[in-house]
Amino acid sequence: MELSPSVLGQMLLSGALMGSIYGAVAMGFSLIFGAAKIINFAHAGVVVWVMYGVLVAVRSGVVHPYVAGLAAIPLCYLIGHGVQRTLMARVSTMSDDMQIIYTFGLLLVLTYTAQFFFGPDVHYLPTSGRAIEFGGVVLQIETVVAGALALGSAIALHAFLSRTWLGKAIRASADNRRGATLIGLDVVRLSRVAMALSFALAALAGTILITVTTFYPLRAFELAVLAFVVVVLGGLDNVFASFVAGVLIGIFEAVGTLIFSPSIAQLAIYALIFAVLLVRPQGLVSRQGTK
Amino acid sequence: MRSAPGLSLLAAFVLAAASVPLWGSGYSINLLTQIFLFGFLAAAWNFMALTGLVSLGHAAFFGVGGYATAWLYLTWGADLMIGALAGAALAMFLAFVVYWMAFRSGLRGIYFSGLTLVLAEALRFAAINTPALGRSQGLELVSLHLPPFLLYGLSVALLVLTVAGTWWLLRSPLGYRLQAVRENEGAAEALGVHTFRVKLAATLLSAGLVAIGGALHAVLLRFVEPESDFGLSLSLNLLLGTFLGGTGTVLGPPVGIVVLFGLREGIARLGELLALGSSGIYALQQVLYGAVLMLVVVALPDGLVTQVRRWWAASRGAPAQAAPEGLQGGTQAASKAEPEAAPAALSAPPAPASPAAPSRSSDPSAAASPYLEVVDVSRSFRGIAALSNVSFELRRGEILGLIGPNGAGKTTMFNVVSGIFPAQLGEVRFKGERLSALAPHQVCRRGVARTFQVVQPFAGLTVLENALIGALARHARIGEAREAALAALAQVDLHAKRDLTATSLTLQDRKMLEFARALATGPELILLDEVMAGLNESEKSQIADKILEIRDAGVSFLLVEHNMRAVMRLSDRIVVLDHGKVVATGLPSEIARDPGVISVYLGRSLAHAPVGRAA
Repeated sequence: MELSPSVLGQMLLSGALMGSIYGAVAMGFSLIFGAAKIINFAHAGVVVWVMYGVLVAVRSGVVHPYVAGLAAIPLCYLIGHGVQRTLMARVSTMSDDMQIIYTFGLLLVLTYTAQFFFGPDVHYLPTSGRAIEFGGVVLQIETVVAGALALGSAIALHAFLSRTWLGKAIRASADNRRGATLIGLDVVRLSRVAMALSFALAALAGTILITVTTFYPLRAFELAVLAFVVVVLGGLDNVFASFVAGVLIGIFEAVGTLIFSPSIAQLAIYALIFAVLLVRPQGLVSRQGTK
Repeated sequence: MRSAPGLSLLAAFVLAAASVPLWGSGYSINLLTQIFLFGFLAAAWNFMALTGLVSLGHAAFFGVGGYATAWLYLTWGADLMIGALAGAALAMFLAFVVYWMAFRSGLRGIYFSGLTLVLAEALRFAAINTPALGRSQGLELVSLHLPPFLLYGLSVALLVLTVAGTWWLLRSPLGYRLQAVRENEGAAEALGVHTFRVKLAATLLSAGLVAIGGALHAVLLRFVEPESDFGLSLSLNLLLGTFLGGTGTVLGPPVGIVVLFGLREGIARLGELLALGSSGIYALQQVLYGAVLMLVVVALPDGLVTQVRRWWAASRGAPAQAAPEGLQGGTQAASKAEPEAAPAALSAPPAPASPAAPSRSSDPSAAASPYLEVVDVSRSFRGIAALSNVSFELRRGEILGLIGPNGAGKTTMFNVVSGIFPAQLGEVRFKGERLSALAPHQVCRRGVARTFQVVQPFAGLTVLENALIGALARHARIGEAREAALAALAQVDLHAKRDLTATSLTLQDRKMLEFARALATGPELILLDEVMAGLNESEKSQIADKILEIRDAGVSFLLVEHNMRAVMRLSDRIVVLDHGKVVATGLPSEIARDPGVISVYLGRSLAHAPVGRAA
């Protein structure tokens, strides 16, 4: 393949769109860490379960995955609320290591219940085949819509966290739990809202992911690692930076694939994360310094 | 596990295991081989967990061992044993490179675990994409002819050796240092533990052993494959086995693995009854593993072995100890091993050893020459000067008080002297040697010990073990170190409480323990950071008496203290810091009358404070 401007533009754009979907997966992971100091590796398991839910809905006659997604988002919001009341209630008081182990346990449960019910096979939804074209760049319509939805949700979430009272309260309780309690914030309730939002984001991410990629139960492990990688690149507790980092990873992957091969691109991402972890663990995008 | 019953237990296990080939079926031999192999792997994982580091990526080393063995065998016809050793060497090299960088940059918690996770994922990806390694199909070890029971015997031997090795390690100097790192890395470093080297040693050992396990696994199953060798499931299963049984214990990891295999087999039977098929059975097993992992974190964070031990102790009416099995066993073994030393020490505490330099008495003229010299030290944090051009000196045998209002830079000065922060300008010399470029453990080993303002005991260890870790800075042998630790405890009257856990002490005793740990390192100079804060008057005067007593035994002191009465009573001279600068130096009586000092303290008159030492 020639490295013409249009090919490069194609790669950059589709990489950015794919990356914004990675960002959508990572945002929920980052949100609950930032809001309640919970490291939730099970987040990816929720995303995969949403994908299976949408698949079942579409196979049983729902017109479009987005329609199923519209139902999944509020449903997951409620489930997230319930999960924070029950399964995750004690997690925020655990040490980092115990949180990681606990949520990996939950990830195992979610992943392999999916495998138990749906089998290890690869699934995908048929695409519409429609594409839009401008300036020699051809993009599949699903990818464009998915990227736009991811971007929209990132902007909405950022606005929510920085503009609304509830969003500010969530950030305050993450910043200093005791201080937030002292000024009268109900940190337990706020962490439930944050978990619910994080689940709703997982529903959104699952819905848009199913329209553009194949999936299988063990995808959950890959998404967990991906979310971690993106979030480390962005800075662990910065939601919008996670989204930006997701886009960067997508572009990095696309360009690496174009110049070398998909596997080298993937390895280069891992190498990049290694370097970031070792040199700048607070993240590339986040402006926060080390203390 | 005490020494004698432990040995007979191991012997009984070996005998029982050796008899299995006589009566067991091929299936049961195969299953037992896997159980023993995974028990060994979990015990090897545990070596790393002893330092308090959680690895989510030990599959990386497992896979390297397996792939190296298979590839060397298939490509070069290399002997399997050679392949396994080469794999172990490669894994240790990899671990060295990765962990060297990780420890240098001080990664902990999520960042460290994440790094290990990414390492295994990267290798899995590399294996999938390397044609020479068979891509996602992996490599198959065809036409292997092995003597019967070879793998079974090897798995038994590895398990026994690793368990015995863990038992031995927990009682060795390295083992105590590992536990100190796990409990409190900063305090360990200040007590002369080369934490970086200790962590690296444990992780390399762990990586090498896991690679050997990976090689054995490859030969047992006759194939290697990216998902099963480098996958997350493997790392999680090792973690689960160890946590279920009890991290940091001797028997925990293999016990946890046995329980897991029991569950696995139970599910397999159930699955056959329900005709689930192998994929369904495998999925159910993993679901159960995940559920058990969550349950362990919530209900059994110290693991089965520790919990059973506690129940056992409770049912026999003994006070339940919070210490994990290995540590508790350590003290039992200690008192067993030296039946004559311990009671003798109890009835007559050893005479306070003089930890000071032997040169002191032979060189009386040295008293006048500078001992600790702080020369023009500056240190700032993000542009805010915490210390600017601070100079003072401390003479041999002197108690030098360092006072000043909050934020004056006293603790920063301590941290610079003890090597926690390097000085940006200027230098610190001790007996003519530069300390400013040294790490805290090196400073400690040159005879400068410190205590922390907020006490930092090794919470899970006993009082004796706390002091022992300090003593290991000076003594390579555990017996000598124990003697020195007991002597240090006797000096601060903690001798009778030596077998209590550090967490059960009162605040005063914890302060004394800080002091004892510092003393046990055999220091010539001790930096005491607000050792009296939070104590009542009688406790304060007890500590002050101790300080004078130990000074008379030849140790010098640099003292940061807010309690003015104590500083005036104890100090030979006083240095006053304010906003990072020295504003006065002199005798206590001079300092109390110095108008500059009085204004620093907002006009509070020190004139009525008792002046001079009540010697």
